[in-house]
Amino acid sequence: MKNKWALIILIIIILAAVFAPLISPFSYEEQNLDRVLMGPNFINFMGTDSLGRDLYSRIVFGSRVSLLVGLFTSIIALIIGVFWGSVSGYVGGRVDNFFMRFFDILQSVPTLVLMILMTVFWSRFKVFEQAHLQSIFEVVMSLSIITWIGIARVVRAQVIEIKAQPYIDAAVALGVKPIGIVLKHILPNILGSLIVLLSFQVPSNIMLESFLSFLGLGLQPPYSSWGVLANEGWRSLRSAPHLIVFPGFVLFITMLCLNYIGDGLRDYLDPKSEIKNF
Amino acid sequence: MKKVFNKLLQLFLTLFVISTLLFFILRFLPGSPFDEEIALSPEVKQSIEAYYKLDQPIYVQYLSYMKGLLSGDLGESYKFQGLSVNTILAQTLPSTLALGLMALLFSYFVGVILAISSINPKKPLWNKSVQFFSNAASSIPNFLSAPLLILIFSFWLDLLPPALWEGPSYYILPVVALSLRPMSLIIRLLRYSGLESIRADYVRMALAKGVSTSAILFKHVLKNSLIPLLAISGSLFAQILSGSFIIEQIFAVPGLAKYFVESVTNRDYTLVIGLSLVYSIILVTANMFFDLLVQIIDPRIQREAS
Repeated sequence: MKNKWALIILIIIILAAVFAPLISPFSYEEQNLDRVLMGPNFINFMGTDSLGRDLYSRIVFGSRVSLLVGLFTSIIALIIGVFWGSVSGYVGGRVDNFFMRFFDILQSVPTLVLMILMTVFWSRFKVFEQAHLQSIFEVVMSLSIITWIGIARVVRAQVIEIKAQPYIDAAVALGVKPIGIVLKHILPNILGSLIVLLSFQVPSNIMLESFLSFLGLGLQPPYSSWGVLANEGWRSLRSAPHLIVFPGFVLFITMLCLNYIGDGLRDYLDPKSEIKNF
Repeated sequence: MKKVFNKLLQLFLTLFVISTLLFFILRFLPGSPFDEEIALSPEVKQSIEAYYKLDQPIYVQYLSYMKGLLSGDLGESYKFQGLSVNTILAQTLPSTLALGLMALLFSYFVGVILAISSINPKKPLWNKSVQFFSNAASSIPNFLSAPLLILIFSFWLDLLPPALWEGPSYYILPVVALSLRPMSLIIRLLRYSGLESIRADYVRMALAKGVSTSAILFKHVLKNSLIPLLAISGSLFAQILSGSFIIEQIFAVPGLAKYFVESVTNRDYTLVIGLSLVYSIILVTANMFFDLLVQIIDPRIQREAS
């Protein structure tokens, strides 16, 4: 029941992001200096910011960046994580040892510190001329590179578990190559938990992106994502609380829906799973 | 004793690898930290770089950096002139640590009480509310919860100061805001293991003997879930350290995070390296401490070891 509602609300949010130009009355960067820092009213029903930009339109356009970055980086992380996790789990031995040490080391740096270091690293590679594309590139690269580790660890554990099953021995005895075994016999068996993993990775990546932008290290205004809006908004908390409350609340609702859906997916696809929504 | 020694050795190895990686990630990249400085003539830039030894070959820089680390000297900041990283640390580390530890304790305290009381099968409504609270607390971004707390308790009710870090009444809001996410983790974990152990035979036995429900919950159920609860302390602490970036910013807490973010935007690489290293040291030490604590408390692990 709860999951159904979560799904409906999430679909509404996604549709809003897809059809952003149609449903938003203003553009995300259109300034109107006659109407600055207004609270919610009939023309700007979530109010305006210090440059008179319509907050509702900025949130709708910002959701495109937030959702896309979250989804895209999670998929990249899943691909790398599945590849490395299954190699490490299936081959074992020295490869596996190396991976586990690598994992230990990365785990001893707080995630956000690691994220920030990664953006510093990627900011030295100028790939795009336009500043906003460059900063999205930095965020996407950093997020994908950091989050695959957690996925790889879960995949590795499951591959090791399945590798001990008799039907794998049978396949080996019949002369199936390792690649065939992983692709045909192991991966289909962990498909359920891969979907569950992805469903928890998306909200956590959306959150990380917004944290980075909040700290001023991600996308910069006038471009908009939920974190950028929060960064612009919290400074005027006393005079214009709507500027932080609305973007924060939209992010909160999205997180809540995604987490409920993830829980539902896990109960359905992978009831005995070890993956907890931490 | 041997175990402690092994752990320490592992800790130093990890820190060595991290510091080396940090050094090479930040120094091996093209460009100098003073490239974007306005109106620097080549001579001035050269002499600045000579002062910070940036003109020397990379291995010389690395050796002097490592030498500094071993003697506990993290170097000098590029942009905060005349300030060494150690001075900045001495000013900021105490408040970050205090905030983190208080948040950890508070989230355990409230989380355990909420979770254990919600397992009680006689209170279905309370059960549902706690479940919703933990879902909400894990989904709410820090930059929403903190402003909401400030709005309610500082601006409307006028009870607590909205920012700064000057005394116990200043600690309350940041600690609460920071502890929401770890609290939701504690509640989830404890409810998960609690709901399993409440179906165990010894709980039914105790009920049959007439032990009161709350006594069962706190004595039997909590005791059995204590070890997994302690075992996640390390990852909780990691999460708290990440969250403290946002919280320190919003509440203007004079902690590490402010300098860290500033040093990144200033390309002040000695400070970036120093502060990242300190964050890792905090986290690695906390992990080791909680690991050892679990091993001391859990009799099963001790037996395996001996």
